Amino acid sequence: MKFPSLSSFSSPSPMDHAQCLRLMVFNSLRAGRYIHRFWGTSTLSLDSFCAFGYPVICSRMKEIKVKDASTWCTLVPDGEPHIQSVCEDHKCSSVSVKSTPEIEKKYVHRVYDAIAPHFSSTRFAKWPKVAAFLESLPTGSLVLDAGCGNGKYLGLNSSCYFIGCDISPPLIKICVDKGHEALVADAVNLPYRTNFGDAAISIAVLHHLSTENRRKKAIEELVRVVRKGGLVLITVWAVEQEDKSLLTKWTPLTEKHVEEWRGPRSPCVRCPSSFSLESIPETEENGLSGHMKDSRESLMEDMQQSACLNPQNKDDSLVSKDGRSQQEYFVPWHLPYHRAEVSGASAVALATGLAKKDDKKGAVVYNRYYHVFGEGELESGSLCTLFMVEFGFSNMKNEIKKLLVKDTSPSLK
Amino acid sequence: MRLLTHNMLSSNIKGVTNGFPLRIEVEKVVEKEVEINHDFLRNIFPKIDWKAFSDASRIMGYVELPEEAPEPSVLESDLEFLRKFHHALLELHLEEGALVCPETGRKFPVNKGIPNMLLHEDEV
Repeated sequence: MKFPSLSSFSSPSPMDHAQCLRLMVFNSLRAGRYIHRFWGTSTLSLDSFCAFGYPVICSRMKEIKVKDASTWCTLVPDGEPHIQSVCEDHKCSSVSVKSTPEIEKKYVHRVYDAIAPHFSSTRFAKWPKVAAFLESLPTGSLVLDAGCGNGKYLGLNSSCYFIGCDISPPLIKICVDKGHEALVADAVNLPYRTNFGDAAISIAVLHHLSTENRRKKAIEELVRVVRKGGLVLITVWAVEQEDKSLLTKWTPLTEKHVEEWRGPRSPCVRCPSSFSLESIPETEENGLSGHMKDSRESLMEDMQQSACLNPQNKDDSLVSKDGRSQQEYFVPWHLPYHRAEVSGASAVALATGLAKKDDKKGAVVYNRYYHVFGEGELESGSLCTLFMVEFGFSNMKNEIKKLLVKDTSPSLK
Repeated sequence: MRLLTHNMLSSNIKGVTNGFPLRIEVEKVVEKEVEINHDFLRNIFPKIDWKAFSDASRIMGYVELPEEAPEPSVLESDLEFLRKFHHALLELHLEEGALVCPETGRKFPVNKGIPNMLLHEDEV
């Protein structure tokens, strides 16, 4: 079968790649019939893609790949690689990559457990590209949603069978109450047989994993559980944000948080001194009321308006004082008092300091850990071949998407 | 948990060579009707490990399925078989019980229809 000619794609302007939603499509040329079907569906036509020039991406990828695989490099605008200040699991070999670090227990797991119903009520708008992907799948496809949250995408294509999993039991309960098939499981260690699924999605999940090895493991798991030629769609938050006001009150990780991160089963930190950012002080924000937000607002829930206090890069990525890209953040979640249980998780969280009260806003404020992704970060170490990249603008927070096709053989037919 | 899901699940405990299929311990089974889709069943059929599926259906109290997998051509025309296949695959729910790792005996609880497959620290 023929793939579309790469010459039919136009190169974007230099600014495009910095201000965008990225969808990267990885394809195996051996995928044959399944891919043909995928590209041929009317719901996901090539017209909808505005792709980046292939040779440029290739060279960027190569640049990343030739770097020492054990370190994690982020490219700042001058092209010089800087070592990100996060230690990798393999430097602390006694801790399994599947073992949950403290920072995730405190600032991901417990937070979502505590905010689950409120979180779910704000998560109903389906992102068009995810919906289009799911609608393009053939009848009878087995679709696995890793990190399914409140089950927003489960059953989106009624001709397919969806199984959702999430680490949060309260969120899974919400899925099952809606009639979906869901279970409690860890994205880093999926309890599914190998090669079984037809497609897998992981929507806004991987950015909650605190080490490179765990993020890689989660991607490996997604690829493992789908059959050869199966498709995997991943979305994560991007470092580059086109709207400065979206940068809100994200708190960059400081040394204080590094200490908490360094729990008994945590990845160790290589260079604490490289955490040079100070916390962004909270500023006045638009009033947070307890009423239900519309879909647009709910998507912006944790990107509230406030002055961005971080010096900005030319490409709008977040840059620390010493010029390195900051990628580790706490992003607040405001749980209105009337939603927080008085004697439940929120009381415990307040008592242990994991959350704080904001009487002005009438909310318990939780912090969620995020690792925002830089360009090229998702495809580094990918198990599949790069075919093309899509760039586009979004009315949502900028994010990177990656679409993989599983290729289990090095040779091409 | 439906049996289609059970057919996908495997024990992922460290050191386990083959964690499939998980043995089902039944405390409560619920039947929930859902509309049949013949195309869906025909597409799903090749993916199913039939022995594990038919054994599981028996444990859940449904004895209508053949022990041997039928020829795919059966699905083209045998509506009665399709109905039974559909019923066992999608309409039987394990509400309460456990899924047991075939090698370690470790029980993964199923409560309110939700399996909890999370491992303990020493199992990863």
